[in-house]
Amino acid sequence: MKVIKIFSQLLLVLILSIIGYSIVQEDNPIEVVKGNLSYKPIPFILEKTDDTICKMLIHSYYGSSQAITKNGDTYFFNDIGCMMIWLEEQPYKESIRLWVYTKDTERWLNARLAHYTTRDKTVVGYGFGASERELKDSISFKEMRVRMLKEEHLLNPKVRKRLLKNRY
Amino acid sequence: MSSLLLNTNIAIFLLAEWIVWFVLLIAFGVTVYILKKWDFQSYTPVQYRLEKYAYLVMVILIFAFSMKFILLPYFIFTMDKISDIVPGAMCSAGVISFNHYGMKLFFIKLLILLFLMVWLMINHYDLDAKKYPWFKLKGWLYLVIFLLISVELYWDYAFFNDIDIHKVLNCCSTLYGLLEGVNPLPFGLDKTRLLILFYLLYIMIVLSTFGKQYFILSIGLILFTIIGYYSVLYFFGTYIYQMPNHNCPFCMLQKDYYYIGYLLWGSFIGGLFLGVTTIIANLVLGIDIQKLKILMVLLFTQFIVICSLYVAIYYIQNGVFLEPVKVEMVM
Repeated sequence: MKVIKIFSQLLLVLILSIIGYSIVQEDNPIEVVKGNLSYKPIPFILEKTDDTICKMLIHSYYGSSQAITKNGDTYFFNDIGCMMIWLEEQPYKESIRLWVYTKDTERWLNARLAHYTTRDKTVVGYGFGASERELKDSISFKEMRVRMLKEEHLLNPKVRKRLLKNRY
Repeated sequence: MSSLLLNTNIAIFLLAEWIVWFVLLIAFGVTVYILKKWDFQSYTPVQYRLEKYAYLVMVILIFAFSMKFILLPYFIFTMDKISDIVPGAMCSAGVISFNHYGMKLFFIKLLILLFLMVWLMINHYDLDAKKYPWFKLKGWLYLVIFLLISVELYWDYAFFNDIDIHKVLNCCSTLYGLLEGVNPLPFGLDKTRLLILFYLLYIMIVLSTFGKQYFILSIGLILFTIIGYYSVLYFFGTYIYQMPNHNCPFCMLQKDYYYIGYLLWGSFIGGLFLGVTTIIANLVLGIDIQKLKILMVLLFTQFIVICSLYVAIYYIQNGVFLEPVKVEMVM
């Protein structure tokens, strides 16, 4: 009986040690960074950061975007479409700083000043690609927002057919 | 009123719940009366009558326990049946998560069953003791059980009434599916450590049960509740479905998997309940119940054997273990 008691005590210590070690080692992706009161884009870690809406890991800066709320909470997105969906759910939309990674100049730009092409290959497939310079057929932020709200993006089969008709 | 309430399975289920509640209502009134007047030292006709009433309450509670024991699996079976007519849901998982009542209802049902089991255990030893030393304790416990059953009955109705058959529900892949890069396991565990803990906890529970170490047994049962659930959901379940990316605690209750979920979860929950009852018997009543302990260990052993056999058989048949498939999006 004494051996059983000692053995079960040892097992308890071993089990709690395994759990404690795992808790210390826990490494879940980042979904939100708090306290960014400079409202500047954060160089987040690729493969370790989650898109807030679709919950996929962000593998590349291309097509990614960030949104910073007034209290400094920074959210990340792997597709501009995801950011727009998130934005519509937020109160005080105008106070939220939006940043997009441009495909032409490869830097973070205020999303409201960027231009958007509509037929890009994006991670989720909405098709909006941000650029600093105005490109052929590119649209403004306001127009892009309206198209997202009306679901006029590449995930809509009718729009996809119309937009990609002359692509190849 | 939702048209879903006219479904045969739901109508039978709700009717049975109403009948049990009504019978328990009688027992409730009798128990309050007994608790007010009970005096074991007295030799008056009233006291003799109260003792007879106490037997009536006991019979009613044994009936209620039997009914609740049957109604819990029937509740899950009913949800499975509804998943055939509600768009989107493939099993009970979608139905139970349709509204906020679902999971609350499921847990209150388990809690009631546990309390009824504890009540029956106390009642058994109370009758054996001749002087009814735990009579008031079991009386008060019954009042708590009745309140819980009343809440449960309201939630039963609210849950089914709130389900809109025209609204699309979530399927289990959405509810329990793995998110990219996110570890769904508790305490930051990986699958290897989860499995090590799964077997170590089983050994610890068995040893502490027979070593009469109730503190260690309590910790073991709490941890095993969490580790056992996640092990089935994210490891053993995939072998039952033979699909590496299918994580659902409910699909295994369906005919496609030979209803193995009832046996698997039944032995797991049964073992946990008996474990809790054993601890309460020891700490509150000061009784060491050998039969309960043996039954608990047998149920946990059955649970472990079923889980392990699925993995072993799969490995013998295929020569490999299941590995989750990473889904790549094709653009």
